[in-house]
Amino acid sequence: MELVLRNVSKTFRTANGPIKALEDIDFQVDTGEFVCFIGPSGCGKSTVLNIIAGLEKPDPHSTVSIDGSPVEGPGPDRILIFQQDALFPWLNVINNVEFGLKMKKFPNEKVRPLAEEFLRMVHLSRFRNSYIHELSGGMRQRVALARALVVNPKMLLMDEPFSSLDAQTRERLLMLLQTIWSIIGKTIIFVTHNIREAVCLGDRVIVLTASPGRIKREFRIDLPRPRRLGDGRLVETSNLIMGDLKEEIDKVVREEMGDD
Amino acid sequence: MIRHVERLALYAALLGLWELLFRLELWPEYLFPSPLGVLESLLTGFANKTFLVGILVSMKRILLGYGLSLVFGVAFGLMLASMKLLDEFLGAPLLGLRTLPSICWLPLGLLWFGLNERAILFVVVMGAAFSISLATADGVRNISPIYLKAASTMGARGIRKYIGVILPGALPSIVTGMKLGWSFAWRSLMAGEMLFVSLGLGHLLMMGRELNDIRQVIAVMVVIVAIGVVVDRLVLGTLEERIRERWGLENP
Repeated sequence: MELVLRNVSKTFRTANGPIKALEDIDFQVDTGEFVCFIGPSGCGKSTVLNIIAGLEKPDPHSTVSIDGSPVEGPGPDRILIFQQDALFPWLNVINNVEFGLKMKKFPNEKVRPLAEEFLRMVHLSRFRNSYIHELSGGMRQRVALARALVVNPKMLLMDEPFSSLDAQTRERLLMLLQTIWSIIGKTIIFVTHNIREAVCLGDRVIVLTASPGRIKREFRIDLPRPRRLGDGRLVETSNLIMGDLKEEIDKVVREEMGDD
Repeated sequence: MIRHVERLALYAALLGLWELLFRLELWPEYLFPSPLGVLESLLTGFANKTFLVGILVSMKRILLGYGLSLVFGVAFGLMLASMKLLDEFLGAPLLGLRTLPSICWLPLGLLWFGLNERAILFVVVMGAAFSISLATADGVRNISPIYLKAASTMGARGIRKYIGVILPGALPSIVTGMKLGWSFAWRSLMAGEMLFVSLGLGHLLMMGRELNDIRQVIAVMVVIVAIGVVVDRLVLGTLEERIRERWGLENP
């Protein structure tokens, strides 16, 4: 047992009064598990990640703990990877990867070799001296992955990291991520709105309801790895989950259209 | 390439027109010199080293003053951006003070420091520092929140966060402020030098007037424009362009 969320709710105060984004989220994730969250947009998927990352505080009665100790704020044991553009453009690729190590005050002589090692893992050694604006979207996300893994976090929190990539690049990154996960065995919590992506990656897929976000259902995915998006059984499983999710999407659409 | 040629041709034509007007003798020579006369004055000025001394003295003042305003401006801008209270109290008055022509600080400087270098330094610093600090504060406030989130999940705190993320994140805006600050600093230095400080380009300008030497006046103006343009375009402009390109921002 590693990460535990109990009765986690989150209310945002807005100009139009409080809005409940999450309600009574309850789940736990074991060490080394790969868990995907899916849900319609605006269901609070990213808020769950931000709360685990310690970037946002949940409502008072909520508890979030890792290995028994409560989460108080952000820390390098939980690294967040964003949809895009979170690399520092003023640093070249290798310096971006080194950033977290330097913040951790890692001994200087160990920083470079370690960064090189993780850059090799995402097949970007050749681009160590490039600047971020010279890289494609897929390459940027690979650098982001290396930058996150190099600090040896307990878990990776991935917030729709592949959603702005084209289909081929995404497919290749899904393979790469599975390979890396099978080697390093870290806990990964992955948020997406793409069901096949979730089924492709997750040991479990958790479906969230629309506003407020609650856990609607959980699916255990037992397909053999590595999985490919086009695989027949994967598509079958995805369609099954789609039925569940569609209800929620329709609900969002109805709410958004019906208000005026 | 063609455009450079065309531009040179245009400049040559303008100079030709100037020479033509001079040859027509519409105005006496002491009011309307010829371009060749100005060139000659420029060459003599450099040959007898008066211009060189003027440039050196002015550059020394501007480097010191501009350097100080860079340090103070950036430090103060960071403070403004990180202390909400300070910003709420001082934000509006600072915007107001920025509209004050910087030479208006001179009387205050003279009263505080007397007729000396420190008064002119004061004017230069006051001229440039406000733009730089406001631009710095602006730049910090506009750093993409995703950089800050990424940095804090990787454990960036305190001074490391400032040096590693906040300053570089605000750099494009800081450089824009530096350009603005430079033009204010250069103008206020010239105004100050014309009013009282000995040596320097502003002083040479006034000396030209006192000697009734219009060719020197225009020659010194050419030098002042040249220095202003070189620093603005070549030094700061190139810096700004490089930074915007690397930061992935479109060029303005």
